[in-house]
Amino acid sequence: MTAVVARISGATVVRRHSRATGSLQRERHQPDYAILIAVVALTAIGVLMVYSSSAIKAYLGKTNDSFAVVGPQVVWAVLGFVAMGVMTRVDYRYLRLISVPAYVVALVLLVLVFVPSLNYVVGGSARFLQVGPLPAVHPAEIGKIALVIYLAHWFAKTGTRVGSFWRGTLAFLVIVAPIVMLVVAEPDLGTTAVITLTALTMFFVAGASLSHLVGLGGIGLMGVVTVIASHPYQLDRIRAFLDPWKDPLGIGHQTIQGLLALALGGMFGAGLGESRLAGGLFLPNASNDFIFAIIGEEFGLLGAGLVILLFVVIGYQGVRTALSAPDTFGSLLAAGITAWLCIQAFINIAVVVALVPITGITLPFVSAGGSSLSISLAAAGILLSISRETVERGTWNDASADRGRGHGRAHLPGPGRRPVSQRSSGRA
Amino acid sequence: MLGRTDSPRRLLAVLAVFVLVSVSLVGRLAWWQVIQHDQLAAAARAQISLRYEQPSRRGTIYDRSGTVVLATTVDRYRLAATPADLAPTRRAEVADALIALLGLTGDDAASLTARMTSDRAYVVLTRDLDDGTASRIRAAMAAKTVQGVALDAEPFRVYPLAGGAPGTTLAAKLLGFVNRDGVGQYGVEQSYQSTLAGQPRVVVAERDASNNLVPDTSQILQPGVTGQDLRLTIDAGLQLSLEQELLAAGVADRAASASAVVMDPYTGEVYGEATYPSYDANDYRAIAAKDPAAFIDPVVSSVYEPGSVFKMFTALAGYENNRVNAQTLIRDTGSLSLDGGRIRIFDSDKRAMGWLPFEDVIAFSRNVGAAKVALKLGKGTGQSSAILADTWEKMGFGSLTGIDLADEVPGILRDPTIKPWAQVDLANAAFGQGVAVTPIQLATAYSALVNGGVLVKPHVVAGVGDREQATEAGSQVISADMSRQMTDLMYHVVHRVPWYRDKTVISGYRVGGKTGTAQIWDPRLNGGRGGWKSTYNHTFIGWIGKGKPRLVIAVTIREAQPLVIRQGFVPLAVESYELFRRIATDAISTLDLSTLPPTNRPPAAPAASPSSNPSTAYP
Repeated sequence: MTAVVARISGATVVRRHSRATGSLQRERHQPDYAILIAVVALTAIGVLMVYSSSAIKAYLGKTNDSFAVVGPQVVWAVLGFVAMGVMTRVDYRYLRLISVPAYVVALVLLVLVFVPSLNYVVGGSARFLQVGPLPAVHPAEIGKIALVIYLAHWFAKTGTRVGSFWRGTLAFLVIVAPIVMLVVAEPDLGTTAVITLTALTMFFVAGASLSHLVGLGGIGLMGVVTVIASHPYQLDRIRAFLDPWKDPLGIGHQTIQGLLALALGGMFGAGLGESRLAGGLFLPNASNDFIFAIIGEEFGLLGAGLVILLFVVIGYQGVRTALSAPDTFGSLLAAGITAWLCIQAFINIAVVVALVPITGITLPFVSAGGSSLSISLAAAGILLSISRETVERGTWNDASADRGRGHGRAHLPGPGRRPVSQRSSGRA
Repeated sequence: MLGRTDSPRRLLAVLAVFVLVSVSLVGRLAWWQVIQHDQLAAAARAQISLRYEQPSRRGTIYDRSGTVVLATTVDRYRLAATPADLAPTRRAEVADALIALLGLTGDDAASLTARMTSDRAYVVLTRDLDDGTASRIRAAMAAKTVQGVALDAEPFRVYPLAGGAPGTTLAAKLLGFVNRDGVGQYGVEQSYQSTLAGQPRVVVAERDASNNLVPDTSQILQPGVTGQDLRLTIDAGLQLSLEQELLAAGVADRAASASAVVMDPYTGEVYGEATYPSYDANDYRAIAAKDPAAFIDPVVSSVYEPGSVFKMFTALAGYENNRVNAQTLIRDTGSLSLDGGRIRIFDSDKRAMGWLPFEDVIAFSRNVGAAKVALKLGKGTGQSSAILADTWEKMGFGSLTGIDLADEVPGILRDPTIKPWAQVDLANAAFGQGVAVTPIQLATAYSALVNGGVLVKPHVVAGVGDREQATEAGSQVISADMSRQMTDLMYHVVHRVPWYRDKTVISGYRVGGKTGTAQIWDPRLNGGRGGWKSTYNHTFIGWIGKGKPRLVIAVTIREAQPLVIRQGFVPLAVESYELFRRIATDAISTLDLSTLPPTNRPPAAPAASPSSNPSTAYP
C-alpha cells in the first residue's frame, strides 16, 4: 500500500491502489478553503452571538446559568466539526449507497413526531423528537439532508429523462411530496419552504422542463395559499408582515422588536454584548430565529452585511464546486447543499428585515439549535468533500451528454433510452 | 461516467439569483439601519428606557416655636401580591395568614381573600400599614407562611397632634392635607405645595420587557430639591385652647360654625386660627367621601354679611371727613324714613334712645344713628356712598388680604359708581348690610384701625427652611391719629355698655372691640320667596394689650340659635364678646404679650379728646 504524491497543476493527486479493483484512482486535492473559512467563521459568530443574546435571559431563568444555552451550542459545534471533518474525508459517492435508506429513515422519523409520547412542540410548530435520554432532534433537518442526497442520486440516475413528464416531473413530485407533506403537517411552513425551494432548485439544475416548472410554481402557489388560509396563526403572521405597527404588542411584536434591534445597531453597531433588546428580554427568540437582528444590533450594518457576504461566499464557491464537480451526482449534490444553506439563510434574514412573513427557521451555522448546527456542518463537510475532487473544465467527463446524437440526450441503457422512430425516419 | 446531465447555465442562473437576493437583503438592511435609523432608534430607546420620578421627602410643618410638629411625613407600607405566581390552594392559605396578621374581619377580610385568590398578575391588597404590621408581615414572609407578596414603602403624611375637639387634628382647616399623589389640598399644604414638596429626583433607567429595571443603568437627569420645612406663626398651645373654646362656644350656642383668628396687628402674624367644627386630617379620605365641604376654611374662604362691626368704618369715614367726632350729638329716633318715605330702617330693638354722643351711638350699636352719619358723609347720597365705599376699599374689603393660605376669596362689595346706591342701600351699608366679607379681612382691617393705620398682610408662615420670612411692610391707609381715635372708640364701646363690660373686660389689660349681629336671609324660605332665618351670625372683633393693642382677635359665630328671640335681643349661651374674652385670656396665658413686637406708638390716653370738633348735630 504505497502512495505516490505528485503535484499536477496546483492540485495534489493521491494515487491509491485499491485491493479490489487494483486500478481505481481518485484525484483529490485540498478542499475549498473559502467554504471552510466561511463555515468556521459563521459558526464562531454563531457561538459568540448565541452567548451574547442568551446569557442574561438564561441567567434570569430557572438555572441561573448564563451558559445554559451557549454550552450545548459549543458541544454541538464540536460534534458538528467532527462530522464535517469525517464527511470531508469520505468519498461523497458512498452517499449514493445510503441515499435510499436515508430517505426512508427520514420519512420514519418525520412520522414518529406525530406519536404524542415522543414529540414536543416548540412555538406552535417545529416539532422535536425526544427518544429516551438522547438529545432532542429536529427530524425536519434530517429530512432536508436526506432529500438532497436522494434527489441528487435520483437525478443523476435519471439523466436527461428528468425533462419528461412521467419519468421526470411526476416522479420528482412523488419523491418530494411525502417529506413536504409531513413537514407541512407538523406544521412547520418555514422548513417546508426551504425544502421545497431546495428541491425545485435541484430539479431546475438537473434539467427540468421549464414549462413543467412554471406549472409546478402555479400549483405550489395555490397550495401555499390553501395552507396559510387553514392555519390561523399563519394568517396573523401575514398580517403582522403587512403592517407590524398595527398591533405592536401582539402579532407585530417580534417583527418590530427585530427592526428596533437593527436600528439600534445603525451603521457600526453597539458593540459585542451591548445588545439591549436581547439582554433586556424584549426580542423573543433572540438566540435562534432572530439572532440576525442581534448581530445587526451589536455589529451594525457592517457586521450584518459580513454575515450575508459569508453566505454569498458559500453560494458562489458552492456553485463553482457544482460546476466543476467530477460527475453529475457530485454536481447536483453540491448544488443542492449550497441551495439549501443559502435559501434557508436568505429566508431567515428576509424575515428579520421584514421582507417575508415570520416563518420560524434558523440561520444555518449561527442560530442556537443542535440539530440544525450539526447537520448543517455535516452538509458543509459533504460540500467540502466534493470540492476536493473538482476538475478543470473541458475534460472528458463533462462532455456533452448526447455526444453528437443531436437530441441533447445521453446514451442511456434500458428500454426507454431513446425513441426508436428517429432511426426509422430514414435520416441516416 | 456517461457524461453530465446537469446544466451549467442553470447553475449560473441560480448563482445570479442568490446574488440578487443578497443584494436586496443588504439594501433592505441599510434601509432599516441607516435610513430609518434615527426614527426607529428613538422608538427603541423610548421602549427600553424608563423615566421615573422619586418624590423628595415632604417638608415638616412646625409651630412658631419650631419644635412642635404639626405635620410630617413618615413611611407607610403598601402590601401587594402576585397571585398568578402561586397555586390556587396556596393563595387561599396566604390570604388566611394575612387576614390573621392584619386582624381583618367581615367585608375587609372577604375583599382581601377575593383579591388574593384571583388570577391577576398584580393586586394591591392593602395600604398604609405601619412599621409594626410591616415587620410582622416580613417575619411571616421569612417563615414562608406568606408568599407571593411584597411590601413597598410609600410616603404618608401624618398630623400627630389632636385638635381641641374630639376626632380632630390640630389646626386641620389651617393646614389642609396631602392626597395620595403627594399634592397638598387646602390650607398651608396647598399654598406651600412647591416649597414643601420640593422637586422630585428624575431618573432614567433601562428596563426589560417585564418592566423590571436593569441593574446599574439608572442615570439621574435632575437631582431634585428636598422639600423644605415650614415654621408657622401659629402657637400650638394657643391653637389648642382656641379650638377648645370654639368647640365649647359652638356647641353651647348651637351654631353651625364658630371661627376665630388671633393676629398680631403690627406684623400680620396669625398666632391662632381655628374653626369649629374641624376634622381629622389623618382620615381625610372618609371626609372627602362624606362631606368634602368640611375641608373649607371659612376664615379665608367663606364670606358672610358682617353687620354692626362695619359701623367702625362708618365712624372712620365720618371722622376722616370731619363730619362727626366722638362727642357729636345724634338723635336716635328708633326708625328712619328713607327714599321719600318708601322704606324705613329700624334700630334692632326699634326703640328710640334720644340724643346720644356719637361714641354711644357706636357703643349701643344704633342703626339709625350710624345711618344718619353715613347719609351726611358727602353732598347727597351719591357722594356719601362713594366716600363709604372708598373707605371700605381702603381698609382691604373687596380684595384679597394676601394671606398665605389656599383659596382665599375677596368678598363682595357693590360699587356705587357702577350702580348708584339708593338711600336705603347707604343706610344699610352704614351698619354692615349689603356687603360680604371674610373674617380674615375683618381682622386685617381692625388691625389697621388699631396699629397706627397700617394695612398689614396677614400670614401664617414665619420661616421656610432655615430662612425667616421677611414681614412685608404694609401701606399706611389711615393716619396714626385716626387709628388712635378708632382704638379709643372701641375701648369706649366695651366699657360704656354694661353687658359688654361684664363679659369682655380683663383686669390688668386694656380691651376694645365692636360687636355685630346679623340676620341671615335665606332665599329658600317661605316657598322660595325668601325670609330671615331664626339664627344669627354673631361677630366680635376686639383688641387687647397692656396699654396699646397687642393682639387683634376676630370671633365669628355663624348661624347660632339664640336662647330667646326678642326684638333687638338675641342672647347666646356664650356671647361672641364672651368668647373673645376666653380666647384673650388663653392668649395672655400662652403668649407672653410683653415680648410681642413693640410699637412706635405711645399708649393711647384713655379719654383722648377729638382732634376736631364738628359742630354738626344729627337730629
